Formats: sequence, structure tokens, C-alpha cells
Amino acid sequence: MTQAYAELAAASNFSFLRGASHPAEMIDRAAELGLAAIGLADCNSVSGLVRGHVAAREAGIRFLPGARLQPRDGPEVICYPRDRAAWGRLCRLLTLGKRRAAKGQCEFSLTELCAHARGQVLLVVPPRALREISGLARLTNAGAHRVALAAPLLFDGGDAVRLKWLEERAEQWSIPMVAVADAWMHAPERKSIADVLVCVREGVTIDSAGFRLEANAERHLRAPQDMLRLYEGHEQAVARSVEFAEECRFSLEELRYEYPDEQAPKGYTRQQWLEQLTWESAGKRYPEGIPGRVRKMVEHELELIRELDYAPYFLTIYDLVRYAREQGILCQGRGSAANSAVCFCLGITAVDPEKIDLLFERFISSDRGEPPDIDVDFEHERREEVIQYLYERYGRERAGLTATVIHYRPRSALRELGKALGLPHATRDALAGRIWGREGGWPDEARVRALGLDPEHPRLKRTIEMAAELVGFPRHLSQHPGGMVLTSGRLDEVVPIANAAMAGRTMIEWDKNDLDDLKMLKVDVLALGMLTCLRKCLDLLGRHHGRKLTLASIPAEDPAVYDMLCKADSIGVFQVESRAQMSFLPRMRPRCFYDLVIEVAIVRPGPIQGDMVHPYLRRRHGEEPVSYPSPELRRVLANTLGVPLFQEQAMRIAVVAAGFSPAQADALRRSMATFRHAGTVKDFREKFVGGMIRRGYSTEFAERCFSQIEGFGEYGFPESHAASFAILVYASAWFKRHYPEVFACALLNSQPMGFYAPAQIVRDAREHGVTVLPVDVNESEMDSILAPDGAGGLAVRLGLRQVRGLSGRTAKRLVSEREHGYEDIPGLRRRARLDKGALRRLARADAFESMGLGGRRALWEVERLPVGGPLPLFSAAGVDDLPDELAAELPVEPPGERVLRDYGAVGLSLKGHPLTFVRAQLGALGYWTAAAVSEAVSGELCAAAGLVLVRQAPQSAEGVVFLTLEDETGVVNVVNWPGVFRRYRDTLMSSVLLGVRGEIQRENDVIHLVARRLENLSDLLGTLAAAPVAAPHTARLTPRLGRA
Amino acid sequence: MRLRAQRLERLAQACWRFTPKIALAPPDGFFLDVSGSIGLFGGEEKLLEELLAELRLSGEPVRVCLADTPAAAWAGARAARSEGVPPSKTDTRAASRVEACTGFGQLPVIPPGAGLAAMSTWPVEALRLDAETCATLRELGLDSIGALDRLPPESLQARFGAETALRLKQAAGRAPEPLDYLPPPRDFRARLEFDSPVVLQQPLQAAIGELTVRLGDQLAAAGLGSRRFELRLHRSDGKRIRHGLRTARLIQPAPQLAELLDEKMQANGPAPDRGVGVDAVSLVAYDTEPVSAEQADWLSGASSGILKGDLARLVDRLCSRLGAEAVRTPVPQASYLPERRWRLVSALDCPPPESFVEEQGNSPRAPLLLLEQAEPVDAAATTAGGPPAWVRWRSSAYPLRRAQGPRRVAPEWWLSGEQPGREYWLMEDERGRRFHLYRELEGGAEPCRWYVQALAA
Repeated sequence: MTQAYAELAAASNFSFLRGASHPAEMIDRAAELGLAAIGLADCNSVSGLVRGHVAAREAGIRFLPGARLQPRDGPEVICYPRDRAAWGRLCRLLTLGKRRAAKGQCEFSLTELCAHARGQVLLVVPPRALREISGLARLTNAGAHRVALAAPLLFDGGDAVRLKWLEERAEQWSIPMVAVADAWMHAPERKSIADVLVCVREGVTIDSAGFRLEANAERHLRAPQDMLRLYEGHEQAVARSVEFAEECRFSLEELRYEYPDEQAPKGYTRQQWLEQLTWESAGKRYPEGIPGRVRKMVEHELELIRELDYAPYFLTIYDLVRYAREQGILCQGRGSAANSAVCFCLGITAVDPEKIDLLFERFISSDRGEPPDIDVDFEHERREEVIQYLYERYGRERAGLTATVIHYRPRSALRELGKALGLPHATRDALAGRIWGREGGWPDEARVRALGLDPEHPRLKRTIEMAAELVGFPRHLSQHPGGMVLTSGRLDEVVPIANAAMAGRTMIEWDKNDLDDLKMLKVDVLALGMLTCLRKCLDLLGRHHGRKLTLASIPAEDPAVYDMLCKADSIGVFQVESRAQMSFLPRMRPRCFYDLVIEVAIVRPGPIQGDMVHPYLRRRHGEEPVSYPSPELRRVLANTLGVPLFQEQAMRIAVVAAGFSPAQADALRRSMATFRHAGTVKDFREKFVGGMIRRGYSTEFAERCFSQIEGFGEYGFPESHAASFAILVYASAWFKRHYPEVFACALLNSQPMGFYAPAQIVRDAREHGVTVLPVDVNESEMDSILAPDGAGGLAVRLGLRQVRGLSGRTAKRLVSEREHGYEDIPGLRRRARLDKGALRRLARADAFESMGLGGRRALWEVERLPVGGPLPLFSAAGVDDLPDELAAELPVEPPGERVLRDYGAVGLSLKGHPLTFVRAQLGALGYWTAAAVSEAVSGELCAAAGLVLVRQAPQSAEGVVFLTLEDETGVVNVVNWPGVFRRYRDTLMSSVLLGVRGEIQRENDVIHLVARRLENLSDLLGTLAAAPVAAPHTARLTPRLGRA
Repeated sequence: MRLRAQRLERLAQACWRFTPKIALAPPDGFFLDVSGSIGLFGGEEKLLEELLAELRLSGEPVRVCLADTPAAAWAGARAARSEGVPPSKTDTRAASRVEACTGFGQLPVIPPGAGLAAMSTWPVEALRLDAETCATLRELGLDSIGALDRLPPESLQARFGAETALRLKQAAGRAPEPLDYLPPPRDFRARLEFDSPVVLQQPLQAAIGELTVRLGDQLAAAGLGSRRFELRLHRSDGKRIRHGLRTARLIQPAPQLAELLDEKMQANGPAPDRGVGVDAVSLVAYDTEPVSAEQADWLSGASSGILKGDLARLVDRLCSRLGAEAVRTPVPQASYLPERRWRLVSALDCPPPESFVEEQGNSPRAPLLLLEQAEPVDAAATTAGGPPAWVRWRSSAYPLRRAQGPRRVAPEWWLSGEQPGREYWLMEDERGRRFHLYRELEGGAEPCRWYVQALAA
């Protein structure tokens, strides 16, 4: 009796908020039930098909990729392409519907469906009520390969009548009737999930959902024998499903990826062209002749590229980089293939192959046949230009952004489920609010009790149970930060293309894992703030110091730069400016480029969770001998003193030491990256740890290695990326060390980026001897500039962009109309056509000092002006229509208020620090200055207060919250253990000025204040001025880590 | 926000007996022009005392101030409590009781003719300027009314507009302030006061009768009716006993009202506690609405609800006597389970039939005759998963001839715990008797339990 039935109407949860099972669950269940084939057709989408395809390959069941088409004026039609050409038509139809509709929508007519029907197998899904199916005639005449009428059972008491009625319709139109389960879930147990999805979709609670819910749980997959029994008297319809499945021969395997083919000029193969370009560029990189070692490396790599046929890939990347260079956009590649001599020659990276021993082959495994991986970072301000260039060069039908599937995370699942089940707002917030990070802190019984809730309350219990099931469900598609797919033929015949949320962007329906599975090439076009900053540094250096440098030609291995980093003097320096990095730098004491590579990769969840950091440091400082767990791992771990630090190493360990196949290792990496059910992780753990133990490794080492892999999660950081990042670390540190004014100026002009707000950047610059001049209407440009400081050096003059709320257009006009300067405020208003709001902002920013109007006086004068722009008549005559008036005495502004006003208007003050003015009060409360704290000894009890600069709760730190406080004398680093955090959560989250009492902990040069009590002192600032103070820095609670 | 406006209005509406001139000053204040009524209450202080007593009943935190001008009173009510500190919104809301302003002696009154002198240290916010102006003034260091008054008026006006200058003048009494008074109340009330506390039933009855006539006349004169009334007995110990009355019909004339009040009295009697007398009785008609033409046929008791004619009158009388919750009517609700398909609600709350939800699709209609509880029966199907061939219910056996089904219904998991789903069959025996039978869907093939839940179709 097996193989007697094939399900042709199954939908997965990629029919967002409708389907209640993952594609893989559908496939696995179908295989288990012994179906002959399973067709997956989601609503106007193919986004779940690759997952289904992969699952079906593993389960060994025939898989029909399709889509459930919902034309605006016709019945639902399930469509299975019969061949590659028909698949192309299906994709074109969906593209058509999606490109014209809003994001997430798809709109097309029955006529358009019919126009794309050739080669398709169509199943018409009848409406629930027995009424004539409109458009059936047109569908049967549309030239489709086959058309059939789907006949599902609804179990509503009318099935017998319905089947008979459908049979008559089928006969009338001479089309066959096919039995379908019309499955929206793989098993009936998912009914409750299906119900809550309805609630989320309709925005109702379960109690008021009523008839919006399905009456019963019958829409699930059924075994062939059940289908035969249920369709008694209509067995033909059941048998026909198999026959129809046979007709749909198309498989996603047929989608062969082809590289875009325009890169090579006529007469060259792409390999030849790549070789030619490489040697040419190499000549330019090495004007004194290519060193022999490099020559050999290039030759070797080109050979490998030829073998693997990667030339088109390198040419595609090269084209991108070439375009950016022509436009003056700074960019750098990173990733497995980027660390090659070829890429260095082509200018894709600045990692000099001579200076660092990064073996190309280490990163490219020829056995996997996987496309090489190069991400290219661009200046964040100009990345969009590059994306638009790609659209232009390849056309919208050949280029598209990769999608990212937004999944339910624990927090969103709890929130939405709580809402659907009608939990009160406060309960939902309490539940969801306690979840930090991804897995950290699922509300178990104890935690729920700690929230003051009853874990036995049926609704609450149900919410938590079901939320766990909902986690991992796709919610919608979003665009990938920058992964572009480029094809040789039409991309819209490979996969539907839809509008992204951002104007001018289009994206495909598949995410990066889907593309990997189909072996389709993706180029990551990413945005990086530091590149913007460095380009500005290089420009300023050329303009003011006459030094023309590039990333690659910045003097390398300068001991002064490393000296600075060893002192943790790294505000603004790429990657190593974070709190964790700062405390790590003095321990690591980097002395060479490769140390920076390690530095970038080591302070991350992976190595931290794997407890690899301390062993590495001990070995580095000779406190522990360097040894290798086994001879076979010596090769893998030689560069890192026998301690696995990089993601590649962890993956190699899986292969070399745990007996994974490369493909399995890859699956392991991916399962960590995408959130899956805990069960999968457990299986992998057993296999991994067990494998290592069997090969004679210690259990402890095996466990640590696995924890490390877990820690990599989404933020896995491979050596190949770290190397490219290290270049940027070095370059930015070099500027900071040798040209602090250039560096500060470029950083200010690249905001927002990095960890620190302008106030800290300026403060740091001044501490390094840089003069910083205030914003002034007669001196400042749009951006901050370098100007003579009067003592023969260069000072940073803050730019008008620093003035909060001043529009870019207004600022530009102010600069362009300035000529020889503005004499008074009415003149400025007239000539630059400024409105009163802009003038107020400038007055608050104290930008009229050069007119002799400081502080309140300037605002007083501005307030006198009429609202709106000047009258045309007067402005033409160059006269200002203000009568004389009596002098008014304004109360003198207290300095503290002035400083706070500066913070409000420009985000920083050059006149002082707000805490100076409340120091006496703080002293009375027993708070020390940061300077005093830095002198304290370990174990000493002390108290410190400061503006909260950064709040961080790294995922790897398990509930520990780090704070950075700033006062007029420096910064204090605070550690809050989870207990303290729980007690003072609100204080910690809401304070602008925070007081901390606790104990000093000192290790080497690193000082922490371990908090015991927190106090919100923000009201003290309020005594300075009634105007509310903008927080110097927005609170940040998500871990900020680079991505791989 | 809307809620706040409603609360403000309700508070203002409670003050009609102090003056016919009430003006709202949203978001959190209102003015009473009491210049004409001070004498009626026997002086400023007496009036304030009674006003505070009235407002105290609302449970809202309230602050009052009596002054020469609206501007000064507005400022006084907010600013004077703690001098020099700007009034903050949280502050007023946090106060959980009525507070007398300090700085005025016993009661919050700004003495006549004091002008700006009394206000010079008060914050600029007390002038009712917009937040932006206040912020700018503070930025300029001009944070008190006095500081503002010291500036040349032209400079002030040139910068902060005529509005700012006007507010300053109004506070000083140098400029008039026209107010937008509320229209007369929509709630109608009648009140009778006794010369000495009344303890006996009879004079109370008579007084209530008198009140219904008075109120009925007022309503008739205005062409209005109401569905919500309240009878209040003001006891001499300061307590009030309230009797609410809701009706299905829109009520206007006194006889109808009297009839219903009569039912009410008979049911729970207005008798005051032994020994504590009643000082006054009042009758209020809330939320009055115009009586339209089709409702004019009073004898038939027309109404705009779903209840019509004599039925509405019956319901009104029953509700008056038994309470609104005691008279119930079934209303359909959106559930697939027959026992949950209907729900009983108070007859006064019965929604219009247009809002009833119908099940989609072509499933059979829900049964009309439900058993109190589904009863287990013996039944057996001839084929696995098929309809039963006979059923034994209440010790009689019925051979079944015809079947419609199956119709499966999932349990409402969010209400009950884990319960099995059901499969319904509508069966008919040879004599045309119909049974709604279901079996529990558990596991599938094992022998299942059958129930009869309803009879007939």
C-alpha cells in the first residue's frame, strides 16, 4: 500500500504566519509516512524551498518545489514547474507580482498567471463554500502542462457532498480531480501553534479569535492508507496524486549557478585575463620588482585558481574594487580567499603576503568545491553607491540582495505569544524583558517565580511552552546587510526578486544558507565606519602634511604604535577600543601584526566560552610551556601556541580530532549560527566530544573546544577575517599615535560609528595635546577641519555638523554664503537665509563668539528676530528691519548650566565637564573622582560617580553587565555581577549620572570597580539647569561584535 | 489622553451648583467664575470649603485657588505650594488628596488687589506659556515672573510674542481674559432638601415621587430622555446611598420613571439605617439623548435596542426589581463547540443582531436543543471511523438510518487543558428523530466513546 499517495498541497511556515511546521518537519514526516513524493508550495513564495530540498535529499524522498499562487481575481492555484524553463516562468511571475507591490506583498492577476502557465502543473484549490470556481475556464486554456482540481477534506460535515460536487465540476471541465491533504502542519499537534499564528496575523487574542481559527486539526500530512480510507469511492483521485507527482520532474539541482561573464575582454579567457591583471597590478604594487617569494606565491595561487575555476569570482570582486577605487571609496576585502598574494596584488586587500604567513590553501579547501568567500568592506557613508553600481552594471534582473530570514527569537516569541494568549502587558514585558542575548535566560520555573509570577498559572505555562516551540519559526524576510547575488543569465528566472524595505533596493527570496546549498555565488558588499574614517585620515594627511599614503603603504610595524596599544590607549582605534579589548590590551601586549590578528579574534564569545584566553596568555608570557594536544593538531594550532582561537581552527579540530567529515563540520558551524532547537546541539556535542575522546583527547579539552564552537555562534571569527581587520586596527592606531589631530578630526566626521560619542573623542584628543576649537559661524565648515592652532601646529575646529538639529542644507548654505564673514546675526540671517530655529540652535551651540556674542546674549539677540525667513524686499536691499531697543540686563549664566547647554546643543563641551560643578555635592555623598579610583588598591572599598558612557551585557559574560562611567578626571570601569544587576536594573538602565559603591579589583594595569550598590544621581545635574540633559551616549545593551 | 480629558470634564460637571459659568482649562484644570455666587454661600471661605468637599468626593487629587483674575488663580493653584520650584506634572498627580495651598493662610485665596507682587517669585510656567517659550526663558536665565516683569515690555514682546506679554498683563489684572464657558449640563438632576433629617419611609416616598415629576418635566422640556438614572439619599452622617437604574428603553415621562423606581424601592427599599436620617434626596438622569420621532409612541414603550414594545417594558421592570444581571438573554458567540455556541448576558447588554458572528463555509447549523451536558451513550459503528448504526440512550435503543458527517472539532485548548477532539455525526432514526452524536478522537482506531449532545437539527 505504500507509495500509493503523494502530497501535492503542503505549505510550510515560510507561508509566514500561516504554515505551522518547518519545511524540514514536513519533509521528514512525509518520508516517515511513506509518501511517494511531497510538494511544497508556500503562499506566493519559494523562500522555504531550498530548506525543503535539502531535507528531502537527506530523507530520500522525492521533492517537488512549487508555490501556492494567489491571484487577486481568481482561485488559489498550486503551481509546480515541470522543467527549468517553467521554473523560470514561475520566478518571473512572482517577481512581477512582488516588484510592483509593497515589501512582503505580491500582487498579480489571473491573466498574468495564465501568461506564465506554460510548462506548469497546476492544481486549482476550490474555495470552501460550494460555489462556482471563477477563472477555471481560463486556467484550463492557459497552455499549462496539466491542470487538475485539488480535492481536500475539510471535516466540516459536508465532505461527502463536496467531493461529489467537485467531481462533477472536474467532469464538466474535463480535468482530473486529485486528492490532497492540504497540509499546513506536519502533524495535528501543531494546531495550537497554527491558532496563535492566526492571532498574531489578525492582531486578536485567542479568546476573541473565534471563527478565524480552523475548526479542527485536520490539515496535516496523512499516510497513504489513511487517504485511501478517507477517499473511499474516490480512490482514483488518490492514485492520481502519484501520477501527477511523476509529471513534475523539475528539481532545484537543475539551477546551475553561472558567474557573470562580462569581465574578460574579447580574446581572453577569464583565467588569462585574471593572470594578466594580476601581473600588471603586481608590477604596480612592487615598483622595484616583484620579490621572488611573492612571485612564487602568485604563481601557485593562480594555478590553484585555475584548477578550481575561480577566475570569474576573483574578476567579479576585482571589478567591484576597481569601481570603488575609481570613485575614491576606500574598501578592503576579507575572508578565506582574500588573504592571498593575488588579492594583495589586485588591491583587494592590504594584507601584505610577505609580512604575514597566511597560506591561501589553509583557507580554500579544494575538496569541498564550495565557492570561495570574500567579503568586501566599504566606507559606510558610500556603500550604497557600490550597491547601486552593481544594479546598474548587471541590471535588476541579474543582481539582487540576499535575503535574511527573520526568525522568532525567545524574546519576540514570548512577546507575541503572550499577546495572543491575552497575558497582561506587564507580564509580557517582564517575561520578555528578562531575556538577554539569544539563549541566555529562558524563563524556567525559578525565574518566573522570581518575577513574582506563578509558573503554574495555565496560561503563563502554556505561553512559555509554546514560545519554545515558536522560537526558530520564520517571521518575515529582510534584506541581508550586503550580500549580493550576481548571475550570468537572468536572476529573476532563478529566484523571485522582491522589493526590499529600503528604496532602490531589490532582494531575492533566499538567504545565504540557501545560496550555499545551491552553490550560488554571493558577494558581500558591507559597510564599515572605520573605512570612512581612514579615508578621511588619508585625505587630511595628504592635504595638511603632504604625505600621500594608502592603507598598504602606511609604515608597518612601528614600535611606537604598539607601545601605545599596550597602554590600552585606544579610544577610536578600530576593534580594540571596546571596553573588553581595552582591558585585554595590557595583558596581551601586542608587538607585531600577527598579535593584532589574534587580538581581534580572541576577545570574542568563542574563545572566551572555550576558556582559551588564559591558556593562550600564559603561554605567550612563558608561564606555561607550549604543547600540542596531539601531533596531528600541531599543524592546526602552530600559529597560536597550541591554543585554538580562530573559527577555522575549531572547524579543523572537528575534522582532524573529532572525525567529522568536512561537510559535517560545515553543518556543525551552520547549526550554531542559526538558532535551532537544543536537540540538534546536543547531538553534535555528543558526536564531537565523543569523537575526540575516542581519539585519545582529554574530556576537558574536548568540552572546551565544543564550548568554543558554541560561543562562535553567529559571531564566529575566522583568522582570514581577523587578518584584514588587523590592518585597519594598525592603520587607525598609527594615525592616532602620530597624527592625533588628523585622527580625531576624521573620527568626528565619520560619526556615528564606533563605541564613543564625540564628547569622548574630543576629550581623548585634548588629552593627547590636540587643541580643539569650538563651532563658530565664521570659522567652522560643515565637517570638522584642521586649522592653525596659533602655535604653529594644527587644531581641530569643530564642524557645523556637530550642532544638533542643524540640517545639512542649512549648514552648507551658511558656509557657501560666508565670503569674508558675518558681522552680526541679522546679516547672517539675511545672507544665509537661515530661519529662526537654525539660529537658535547655533546660539545654543555658542557659535557666535566671533561676533562677540556669547551664551545667553546670542540667544537673546536671536529671539528678537521674527519667525521664518527674512522678507524678500529687505533682504534684497541688504537692510535689516530691526528698530533700536533698550538694553536689557540678563542674569549671568552659571558655568555649570553653560556646560550642560553645550552638551545639549553639540553633544560635548570644551568649557568643562558637568561633574566639575557637582563635585562638592558628590564629595559630600562620599564619591571619589575617577583619578582617585585609579590610585586605589585591590580590595579597597570605594565609590565613584560619573556619566554613563557605555552599558554592555556581552553574551559571553552570562549576565554580567559592564559599565563605563566618566567624570572630569577620567573613566571608571564598573562590573555588575548578575545579582547586583537584578537588584538595580532600573537604576542602571535609566541613570544619566550614576553613583556606584563597591570594591576595587586590580589585575596588572586593569582596574575594575565591582559594584555593590548603585544610585541614580541624575537629579544632581538637574540642579544645574532645568533643561533636560541629553544622555551623552545612547545606552547600548546588545553585544557589539563584528560578524564573520 | 482622552481618558484624562473625560476625568477633567466629569470633575467640572460636578460643580454646577457653584456657578453656571464653568470653563475648562485642559489638560488639568478648570475655572469657576464665582463672582456672582460668593454671597449665596456666605463668603469666599465658605464657598471654598464646600467646593473642596464636593471635589473630594471624586477621589481625584485637586488643588484650588481663588483670585482676582483667572490667570492668577491658575498660577496660584499650581505654583504657590512650594515656591520657586517649577510645578511638575508628576507632582500634581502624586498628591493623593486635596491639598490647600500654603502661603495664603488658612485657605488658598490671593487677596484682592495684590497683583503681580504676590507672584514675583513664582516660576514662569505659572503664566500658562507653551513649554518651548518657558524653556527658552529659562535658558536666558529668566525663570521667575518677577524677572520677566523687570524687562522692558517691548523687548519681551519682540522676542516672545504678544501672547507672552498678554499673559503677564492678565496675571497682573491689566488685561481682560475672556473664557470659553461650558454649555449647560447634559445630566439633569432634581434635588429636595428636608428641613430636618427624615427617618420614615413615607415622606421619602413622597419626596421621590416629587422628584420624578420634576425631573420628568425638565427632560420633557428639553426633548431628552435617558437610560441611566441615579437616586441618591444624602444621609445626615455625610454618607450617600446610591441606587443606580439602567433601562432598555429611553425614558422620559415621569410615570414610566415612577413605575421603575417603584419596582426598585419595593425590591430593596430606600429605608435609611435606623436612627440615621436623610437630609436630602436627589435624582439624576445621566447621558441624556434626544428623543426621536419614532420613539414618540410612549405607550407602546418603543426603544432603540433589540428589545421592543412590551418586552422592553417587562425587561425594564424586571431589571429594576431584580437587578440588571438577573434578567438574561442568550447571545451567540464564535465557538465551534455547541455547548459554547451561546452565552447568557444581561438583557440590557444584548448586542444588536447585526453583530452576531456566523460560522464561515457550509457546515451544518448549530443544534438548537442542547442537553444540559453531553451524555455518554452506547453506540457502534459498522465501519472503522464511520457513523454508528444504532445508539442506546437513556436505556432505549434507536436504530439509525441516515447520517451526515463527519464534522470534526478541535478542543479549545486555551480554556481547557488537554482534551480530545470530537467527531460529530448528525444521525436520524427510522422515525425521523435526530441526534447530534459525537465520539472522542483519541489515538484513532481503539474503541472510542460516544456521546449524545443535542436532539433535533
